[in-house]
Amino acid sequence: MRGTDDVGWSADDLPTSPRAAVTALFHAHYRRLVGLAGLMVDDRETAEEVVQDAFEQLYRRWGSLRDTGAAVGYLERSVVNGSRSRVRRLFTERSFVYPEAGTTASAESAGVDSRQRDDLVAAVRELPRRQREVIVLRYFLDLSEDQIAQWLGVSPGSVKQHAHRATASLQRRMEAWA
Amino acid sequence: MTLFESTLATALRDEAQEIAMSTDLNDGLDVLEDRLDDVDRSRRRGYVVGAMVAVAVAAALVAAAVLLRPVSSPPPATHPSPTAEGRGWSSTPSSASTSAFRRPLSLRLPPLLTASSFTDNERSAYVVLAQGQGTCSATTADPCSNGEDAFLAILDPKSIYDPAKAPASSPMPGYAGYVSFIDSLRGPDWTQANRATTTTADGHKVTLWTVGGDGIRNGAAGCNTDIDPIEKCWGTYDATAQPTVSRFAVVDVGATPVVMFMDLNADNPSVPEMVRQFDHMITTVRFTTP
Repeated sequence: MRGTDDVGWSADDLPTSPRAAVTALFHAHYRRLVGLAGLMVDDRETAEEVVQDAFEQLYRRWGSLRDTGAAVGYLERSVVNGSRSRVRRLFTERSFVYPEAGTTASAESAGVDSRQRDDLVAAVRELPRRQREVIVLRYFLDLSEDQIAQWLGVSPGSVKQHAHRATASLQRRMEAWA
Repeated sequence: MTLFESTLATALRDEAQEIAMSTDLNDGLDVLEDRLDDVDRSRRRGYVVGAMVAVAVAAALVAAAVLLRPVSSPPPATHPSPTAEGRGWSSTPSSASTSAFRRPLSLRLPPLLTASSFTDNERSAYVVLAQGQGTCSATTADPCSNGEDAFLAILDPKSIYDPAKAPASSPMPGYAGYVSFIDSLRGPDWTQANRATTTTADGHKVTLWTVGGDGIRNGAAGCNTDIDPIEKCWGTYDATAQPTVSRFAVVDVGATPVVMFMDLNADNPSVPEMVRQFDHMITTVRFTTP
């Protein structure tokens, strides 16, 4: 899921103008980043705003980036940080406004029906905030425990603990399907 | 990867894909274009102001050189030594001014409380804190992490939710009443980390506390209207049992007080220093005429 391989942009491909480069990155990554933010916040509008903020920040800081090829990593991290800030900012109701599932083919191919998949996603959303962050970073962004610790500003031991508790809780949920 | 992990990863990716596909790329692009235009306009204004400042500084230096020439040579320049009170703050302070907030104010943001974004409306101003702003890189070793999980809110609430009176909201009390209210918020899941202290902001009396814990105090910091439901109000968010630390400052500005509070993740190792800088920041607040 990570990196630029799946979207066709590398540092060499990017337009030289900062504005054109940021716009090109937006075309390539906007939807995926909204998906990432959507896993961490509870409504799509907030997810879109978080991603817009990330692109705006990238544009503001373009001149100070040491490596424009790492812009995607910068965006991902900005989105994670922005989502975490929004979650802490106001009390939001835990109701989801996303449209009904359109396709669940890949989950079904893994032996999970759409109801179970929705149940698992709902269980992730009900996790304590830090556990949810660890699970999304681990299983959506494929980050290692050390990377997650760096991103969240906590110790690797703390990440391990949150991951253990979260997976135990999610596994109990899955066992209930049987 | 185990079957469970694989199932989880697949479910998350499917969910993200659904969310992604429900967003409109063209609408998003329009919003981005507007935002980048704003950034460009802001930069142009900055260049003009910078040029004017540079010209003024150059003129002042020339004038000073002319005036000082007949007198003995000036003493060598010295750098002020850091002090516990003002360590490093005067070098690169950021400042912020409200634009729509009904009690207009400006303040200086110290190093650990620099803003990555600042927005306000009639009843609240909201600052996302971004420690290390301007020095962030796109690497995973980014040193910005301490401030990422923090915000500063400046409020002129119309009402509050008092746990003792919930589910109904109460009109925002006066300064003394609100101070008593915050003092009363004690319990096994809500701690007052220290006793209240006082200072002044632009001549107005201020009471400060550090509070924290696992408890939820929805609406304790107030609501923008007197009809807001509790989940739309300000307070300590902890529906997911993530310990937080909040620094509250209540400023006596008239009939009802202005509430300033900073919310931090309790895991943040910089909490003590950020609290110290928050307290200093309060003393830099200047209220301006609406």
